[in-house]
Amino acid sequence: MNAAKYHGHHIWRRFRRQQLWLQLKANKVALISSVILLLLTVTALLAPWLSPFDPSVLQQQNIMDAELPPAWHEQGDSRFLLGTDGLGRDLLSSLLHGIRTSLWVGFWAVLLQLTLGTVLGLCAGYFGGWMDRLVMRLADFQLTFSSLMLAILVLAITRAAMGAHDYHVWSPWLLILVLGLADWPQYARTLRASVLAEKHKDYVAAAQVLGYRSRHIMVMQILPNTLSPLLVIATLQVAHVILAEAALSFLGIGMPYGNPSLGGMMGSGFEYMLSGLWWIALMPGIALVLLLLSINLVADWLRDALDPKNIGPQQ
Amino acid sequence: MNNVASVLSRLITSALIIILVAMVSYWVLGLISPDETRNLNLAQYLLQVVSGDLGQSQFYHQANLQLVLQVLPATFELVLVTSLLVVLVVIPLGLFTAIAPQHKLARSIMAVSLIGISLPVFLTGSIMVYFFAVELNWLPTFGRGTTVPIGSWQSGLLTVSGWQHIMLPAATLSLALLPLFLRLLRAELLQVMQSNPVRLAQAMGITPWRIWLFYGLRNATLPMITMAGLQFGTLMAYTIVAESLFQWPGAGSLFMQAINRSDGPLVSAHLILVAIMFLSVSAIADLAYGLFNPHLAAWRRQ
Amino acid sequence: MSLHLKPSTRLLSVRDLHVNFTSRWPQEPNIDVLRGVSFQLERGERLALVGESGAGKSLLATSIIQLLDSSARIRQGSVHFEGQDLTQLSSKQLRQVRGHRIGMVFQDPMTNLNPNLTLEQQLLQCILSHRNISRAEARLVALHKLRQVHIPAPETRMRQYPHQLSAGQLQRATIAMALALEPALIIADEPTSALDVTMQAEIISLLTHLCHNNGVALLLISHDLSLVAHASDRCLIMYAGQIVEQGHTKSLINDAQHPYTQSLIRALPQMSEPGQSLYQIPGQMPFAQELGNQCAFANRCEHAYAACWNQPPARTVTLEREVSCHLVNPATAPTPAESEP
Repeated sequence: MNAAKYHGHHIWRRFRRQQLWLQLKANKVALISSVILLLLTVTALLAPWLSPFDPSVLQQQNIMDAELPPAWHEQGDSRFLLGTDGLGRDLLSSLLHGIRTSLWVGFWAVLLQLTLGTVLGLCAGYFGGWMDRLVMRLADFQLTFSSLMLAILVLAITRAAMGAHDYHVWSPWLLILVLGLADWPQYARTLRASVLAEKHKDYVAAAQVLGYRSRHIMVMQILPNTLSPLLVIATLQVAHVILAEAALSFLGIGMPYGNPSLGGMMGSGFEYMLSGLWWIALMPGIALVLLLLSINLVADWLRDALDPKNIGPQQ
Repeated sequence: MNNVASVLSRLITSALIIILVAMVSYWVLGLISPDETRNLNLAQYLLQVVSGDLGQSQFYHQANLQLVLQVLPATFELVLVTSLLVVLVVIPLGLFTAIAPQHKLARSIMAVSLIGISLPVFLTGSIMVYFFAVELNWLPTFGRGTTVPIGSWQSGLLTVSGWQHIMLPAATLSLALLPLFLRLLRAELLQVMQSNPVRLAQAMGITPWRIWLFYGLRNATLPMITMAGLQFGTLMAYTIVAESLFQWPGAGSLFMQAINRSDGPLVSAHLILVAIMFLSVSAIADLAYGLFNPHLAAWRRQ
Repeated sequence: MSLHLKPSTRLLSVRDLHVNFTSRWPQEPNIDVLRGVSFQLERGERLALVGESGAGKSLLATSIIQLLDSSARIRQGSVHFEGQDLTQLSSKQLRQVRGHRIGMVFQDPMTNLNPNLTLEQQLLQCILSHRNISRAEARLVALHKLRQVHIPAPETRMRQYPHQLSAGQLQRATIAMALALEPALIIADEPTSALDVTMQAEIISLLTHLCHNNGVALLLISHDLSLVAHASDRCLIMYAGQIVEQGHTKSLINDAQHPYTQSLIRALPQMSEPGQSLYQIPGQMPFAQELGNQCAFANRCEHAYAACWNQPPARTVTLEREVSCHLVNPATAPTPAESEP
């Protein structure tokens, strides 16, 4: 019993190994992106306190301040560092809140995906048989359609059915639900493959002989050994979900107009761009790219760092 | 004989899928526009669909099928030009980054492609619109330009104005797809170069260009086709976004308009047509797969 | 034929070749896998290279034509072929040598031929890469070569894909490809290991006869001494990245001087009586990383004594034989006390 538990906990130790931190420090790109990401996350979480203005408070908006360019421009105003939009709202504040929204949606949606995908993947891999076939069929179906397309279809139809007003009441939650449900196949597939590989190993047989329940074996023994790829996928998926939310908001079927969203800001700012007021649409775009890029770079680094082939020479 | 049996089974499965989708479509119709389904039950709806009647748009008061068919050429041409652009760019770039992976230019291309994955379609689109249309005023930003009818197909590819209008949307869409395919092609080419047949070819002193062409590109074609099939859903999603951004009068725009107007019949008709489109693309991809397959299957096993 | 060949007949001369693999981890040093290989080959000669798996035979073959893996490097040594040092040539110059002056036959034709191309296409690509002739002429050359390797109905066979042919026919085809441009040397790396026993003798015989008839030198690599015994004039015995014994095949088999060679011969099935258990050399060949400052065979050798564990043996060269063993070396020969079993 001790041997089985020991092996299961072995993976936790691996995470804390020196190697990971050393590798992070060595890889400049990953280091810088992690720092940027951390900065963005922190500022976003503190947005309500950090931002100079509150974008949702109408009293702070003055239509006379509308369409001002960034502060470094000659017509800019030092109060509004990145300029203002068509209604006189400070872009910097809206950006901070927008990033906050993106991260919030990203976090919850990925949590949902991760949970669903893990459960389905574990069951499919461990129990096999009809459960396996069913889960894999479902996964194939969702992968053919791509999560973004499915999200567009489902949310668009919901919007059409509810009408614009009602839809915007529910949309933040619907967004998380739909994006969370749409992308579970990736986790399930990877996990299933890992489970199938681990299922035949000795420590699993030992646990079975000792009479542990299936659920216990799956969660306590097999799962810890299969966490690394899941972590990488989850990180990549955060970027994917943030991008999807932005695209959906851009199309008008994502976050409602009350909730600031980077994609939504780009959508409504587009027409101003045609008259030369580029900052209204492009500032949120730059913020979005920074966010996505840093997440992708960190995920890439994480993938390389956790690859068993790269865990140093064995002593 | 085997072929006939498989074609038949495929047709039957497709028909079943379409009926299934039609049922979902009926339910959606009921959700969006309950009035429409008050006097129409599922069986009647299915019969209509089978006989080619996909209902009438609440907003336009025209047959849905006709409406969609009118805008389909625009979307089709956009996708066509996008695919052409991708193929034309990915092959030379892929070859270059695989032949000389340490070259400065090759490394910068790969770095840029990494950034490219993080660039959303609507951002590249916006940037392109800003630079090429607003600042430089080289290319138009919306619409299709002048179109010329080929039979009942309104084509924008036969006029200069048509090409001017399709450039920005197609370039935007291809930029969204390029990084993925470039990385795939490069990875496949590099892997092939380590394989046994290439070692033998090099031992025989076969010229490098022949090796890159007959061993490298040939072997990379199958995974590219597979990836293209997998990305079709994403391409459709991106096309909807691009059509919205560039006000491209295609099926994607029509769909979003129907959504915004809560035009139930048009939305349901779109669903059925999307299903048909997916099935056709899937069939074509399998066909292409089958053409390349017998020999490449053996290769993949090595 | 003496071991020390006249410069005019010397076709291939490998001198003190050291090949190492670059370790993935900077803290680990690069270990030599080929450790000082030297031998010579004259025109038209048939040379066998025998050793167990992991000894470095295939590595030596690919090192000669400079087609090493990306992680392998020639650290030291030279490969002189037809007056040129192949280790110093540019890739363009090497391409002119490969296929044209040196032909290769690899082990498994199924995994080495391009499954997307017909035999004709592969043959033609090879020929047209070196000769500036028309496709039709190249086709004739290809047909001629296919007939030489006894492939029936070559016109039809040529248009087929590799998966449509048997392993034996495919290997004949690869031999045809190797001979297509009439090279001076053919290196055959375990050409029959992937074939059934019934085909093995046939293919070896075909290979040796073709080489003999066309004056082509042959470097035949195998793990099976019995297979190459009748097919070669001289023989190299390889162990742990070094050549431990080389000499004329007949005399080497009749009078092996290195304990490893003796063990190899003892292990041949032909050497055992029916009902007797087959002889197996005890132990395993050491990995490159495990080799210390000693004879590599010491831990498996029946005759090992003090000198064997203290230093690697030097080469003892006689007129007919080269052996790397302390037993044979007068300077480090064992004392009568040490000779006791």
